Amino acid sequence: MIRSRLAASVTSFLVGFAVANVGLIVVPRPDTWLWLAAAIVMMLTGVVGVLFADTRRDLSIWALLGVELFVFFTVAPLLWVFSSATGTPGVRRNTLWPSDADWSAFADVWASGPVRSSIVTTLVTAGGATLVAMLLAVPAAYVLVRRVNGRWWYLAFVAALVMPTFVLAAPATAQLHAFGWSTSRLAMVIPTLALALPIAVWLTVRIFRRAPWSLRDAMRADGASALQQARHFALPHLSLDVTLVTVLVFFWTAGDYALGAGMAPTDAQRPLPATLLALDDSRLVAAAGLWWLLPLVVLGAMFSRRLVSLVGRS
Amino acid sequence: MSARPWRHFGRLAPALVVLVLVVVVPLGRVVWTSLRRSSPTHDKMVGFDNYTHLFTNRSWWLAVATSLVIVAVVVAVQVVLGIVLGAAIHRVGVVWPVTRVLVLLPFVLLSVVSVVTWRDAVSGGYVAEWFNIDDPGPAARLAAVTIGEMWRGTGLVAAVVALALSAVPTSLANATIADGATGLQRWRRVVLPSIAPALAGVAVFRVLDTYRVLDGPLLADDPDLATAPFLTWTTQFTAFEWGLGAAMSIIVLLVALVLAAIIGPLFRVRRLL
Repeated sequence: MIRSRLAASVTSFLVGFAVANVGLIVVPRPDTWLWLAAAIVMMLTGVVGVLFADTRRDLSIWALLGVELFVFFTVAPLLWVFSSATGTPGVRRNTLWPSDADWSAFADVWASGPVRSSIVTTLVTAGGATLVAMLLAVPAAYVLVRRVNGRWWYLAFVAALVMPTFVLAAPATAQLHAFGWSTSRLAMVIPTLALALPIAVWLTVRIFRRAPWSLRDAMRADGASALQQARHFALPHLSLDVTLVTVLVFFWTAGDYALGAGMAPTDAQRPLPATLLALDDSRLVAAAGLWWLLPLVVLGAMFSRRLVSLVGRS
Repeated sequence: MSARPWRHFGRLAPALVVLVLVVVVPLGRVVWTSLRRSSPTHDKMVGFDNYTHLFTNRSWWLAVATSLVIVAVVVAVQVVLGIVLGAAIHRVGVVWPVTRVLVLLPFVLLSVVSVVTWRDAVSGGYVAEWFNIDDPGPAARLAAVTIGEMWRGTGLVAAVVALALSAVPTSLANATIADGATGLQRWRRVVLPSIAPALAGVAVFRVLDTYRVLDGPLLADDPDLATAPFLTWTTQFTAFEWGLGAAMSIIVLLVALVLAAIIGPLFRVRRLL
């Protein structure tokens, strides 16, 4: 125990020391300060580790070091997205630290014509597909969870979820063209269902599996009407989860590059990801990414436990 | 289970019908197109010519191999990093309320934004400045977007591991301590088997999700080191060789199927369904 903590403390200190040296010798300012800050955190972890090595406190220095490295590894590229968005127009920023921040990109991205029309396209295609997919997924998931032994049917949706969906772009395009619908945004909703429906079914099955169905069975046995069941079971136990899933399905569907990029007949009809990839200005791309992240961060902060439990059990 | 399962099929059927319409029917069209020489100037039946052409095409198989190497490297690093970091997050429980939002941020970031910023980082951005990279070639850009893909998924794996670890029954852990098992034994015999199903699920997802990545390679635009999705896409949407591209699509799908068939049983994913 003590030996492990001391080893972790020494490792932490040495890694911090190495980071400090690299930061001072190799990295130009102002990013030197970021490297030094990270180094100080790790060296302090080493010092704290030595101080607490011989106590009964439940503290793992290895784990602490792991969390610190994880946070650096996750945050640095996110900080870079922010730095890119606040760079000087026309110049590619070459520091991780967002010095001389220029905030205009956050407004410019909304003013940009191609981005605006792509947002409309995305709202129509991904939004429409999400609504249809949820209307289909909720009854389907109910049957899969509660009624039939639906393992093979469920597997079909999972397979569609993980397949290389970009191969559908060409046939979908050809099909729309054959029907003469290729200039319609609304028609793009149908192929987009290939993205929305599998994720909708998968997520809805996940939330339905942990819903307290015995409560509803008891209500039905007691003779509750459909309205009472909706008010006292569906509303308190399912509605929030279903709403969150709808939001996630929308973002999953809207984030796909290939299908929209393939189908759109003109640049003006491209959805958001395809428009951003073709955009020259990285500031606008990064700013769009941060705007995209904003609602998800708010949701994440409000319902973090619920959302994280969708990806695993706790 | 109901005594008459088909009675409930009516509520499942619409979703299945739509799935067939938007996935299976287009795939049928891909098969049909792959048997034709189909481009803006030609359209005729050629049988298996597209496939025989591909089977002897060195650069196509090189692209498939590149894709598989990228998948292997990305997923291996991701799973190892994810286990280590997930275990660390789980052990320092106080940080979980904050980290459970943080871990998923890279994954929910628009992937196009992720690849553009990672490309920028090595071509003239902060990574180039830190390590004095003057002119990164397309290979370096491909490496950058690949690392970006790794970055995108690691948090997801870590979150799944952390959640699975918190579901390991404490009585089980205590019993092994009482039995005098060493830390390594506890990890190998108790912890790893109990998080294995969750880990397997996320590993399989990441394998297939990394395999189909298209926007990164498109942005790196490396003519010598293409991936299979990249070649399939440019054949269809840049060269407009629909027939050849359809044959490539079929091979891409078959490779994905083989990948799933190998790793599914390997990780015993059936336990999850």
